[in-house]
Amino acid sequence: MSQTTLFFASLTVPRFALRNLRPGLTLAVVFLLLLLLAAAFPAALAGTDPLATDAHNLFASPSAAHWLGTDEDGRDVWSRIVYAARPSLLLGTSAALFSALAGAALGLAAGLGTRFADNALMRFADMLQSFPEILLVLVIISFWGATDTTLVFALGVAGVPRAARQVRAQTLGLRRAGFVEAALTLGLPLGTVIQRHVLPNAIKPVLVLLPLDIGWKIAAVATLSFLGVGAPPPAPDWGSMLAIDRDYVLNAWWLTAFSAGVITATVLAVNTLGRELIRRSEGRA
Amino acid sequence: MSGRYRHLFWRLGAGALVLWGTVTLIFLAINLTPGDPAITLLGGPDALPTPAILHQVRAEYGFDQPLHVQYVHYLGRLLRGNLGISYRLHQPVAVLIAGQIGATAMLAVSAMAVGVVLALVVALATAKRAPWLTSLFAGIEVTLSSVPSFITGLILLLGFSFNLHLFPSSSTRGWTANILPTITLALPIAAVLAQVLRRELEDILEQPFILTARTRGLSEAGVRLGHALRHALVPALTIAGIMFAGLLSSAVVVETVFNRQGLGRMMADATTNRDVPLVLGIALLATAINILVNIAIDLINAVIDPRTERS
Repeated sequence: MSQTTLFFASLTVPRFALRNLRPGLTLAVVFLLLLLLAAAFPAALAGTDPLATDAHNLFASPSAAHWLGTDEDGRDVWSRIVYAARPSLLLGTSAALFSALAGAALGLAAGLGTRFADNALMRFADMLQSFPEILLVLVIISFWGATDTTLVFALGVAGVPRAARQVRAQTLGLRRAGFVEAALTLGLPLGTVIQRHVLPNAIKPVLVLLPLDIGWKIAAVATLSFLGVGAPPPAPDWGSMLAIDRDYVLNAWWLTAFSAGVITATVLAVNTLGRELIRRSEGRA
Repeated sequence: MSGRYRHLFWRLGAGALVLWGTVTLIFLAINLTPGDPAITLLGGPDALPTPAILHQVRAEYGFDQPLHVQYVHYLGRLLRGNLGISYRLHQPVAVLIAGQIGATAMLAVSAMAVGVVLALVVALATAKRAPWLTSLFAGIEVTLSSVPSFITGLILLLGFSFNLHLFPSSSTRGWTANILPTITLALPIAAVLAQVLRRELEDILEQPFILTARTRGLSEAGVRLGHALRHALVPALTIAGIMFAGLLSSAVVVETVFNRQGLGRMMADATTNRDVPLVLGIALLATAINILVNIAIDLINAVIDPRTERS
């Protein structure tokens, strides 16, 4: 290949990069950034109070004053959707983190512990996993009532067995890995080796799946409040909004459309990002 | 005893152990929750139970006796099929479950059938075809499998019941009332299964024996149906089983969306009312179904692919 062809070949690089910019991924990132903005500064996106009722303005269709119209109590739908972003994201993320961390602790203990400890912990994981996930969550809620803490705990516990299994499998391999043995031979204390060499490697598969899990958990939070076992009514919440909106679908279709739309978009955006992360971690960028 | 029966025996034993562990976990949760366990069973301190009912619960569970005696009694009652009494509905839990299980089982089986058929058709038709076709279907599948089922249900309800008036929006009677809930449950199953099946089929269609079949002059349909499908079935079946066992959880949502009677709806209502004995009864049933389905998948896999049995 001559110098000139190489030069022209290098010119085509930017165009190639533009083609790599996938519209779905870009859309997902933009939507998630907006969502994070709504969660951090809801007042910046919505001027009206999400709880302010207006008896003269029930079921107003979308207009300049109320971008997405008003609901059955005359509350502004746009600001209710914006203000509901924070609890949804917080609950979903903390439940997913709970699963990942508790699962990592369990999996690490099982992978590094004695055979007896390993068996005991894994049979415990079997028992938790034999409950279909949503049912385990409902059992825990029926025991302790539907507060934010129980929701996070219940959804978190439901995800523990899978995370524990992944971390355990990694740990079992790492126990015999050359660099771990080398660190031990060099005289590093066991705790330091675990913290520096085993944990960061063992937790990787769980971290890669974390965004997908957050998406699943946000959907689960919405599902639970749709079923009536989530946040109590006056608070803005996507799932419970949808549960109420569906009763008015014949005279105010936009209520259902917007609350269903924001849940769908959130779940799809988080999933798109999560899948991209998995693809990159597998080296298929 | 032949190998297959011995294997089945061990699997059933292990399943029984897991179930026993689950029951023990539940027993511990009832007794170690802070406060009076009788009040926990009656729905927490906010439920304000009458002294008469409190007395009845304490007598039934023997909360004044030592823990190990209570535990043995609890296991004994469960073994006799006594799942306790729903103090909200004033009926034995087993009777309540028996009354609702038919509707849910019908829904689950028909959803599974529709899901599997849909997945097979889509995967067989789209595996190793033009890239745009494959990615179009892959996109639809990812969307369908990640959107929560109450949204799919509501969209179907909006489109077909309210706008087109094709199907009734809420009822358990008549076959048309079953169509939308069945589709709602079937779509995510079909989506996940089709993804797995297509990936498997695409791997298998690259294999030398497929080439051999083609050189013998077999048609494309013949190759796909007669040779590739059987190999793709094992991983797909495992996932189908997991999804079937999970149908009771999806039924909680779908039966609520479509205002239907059934176990799922009863579970959702029991949770809102904090009817702990009923919730635990349905959860235990689901656990047992889950364990049995897993054993059944193993057995069916051994029939489709005898190699899995030896390992």
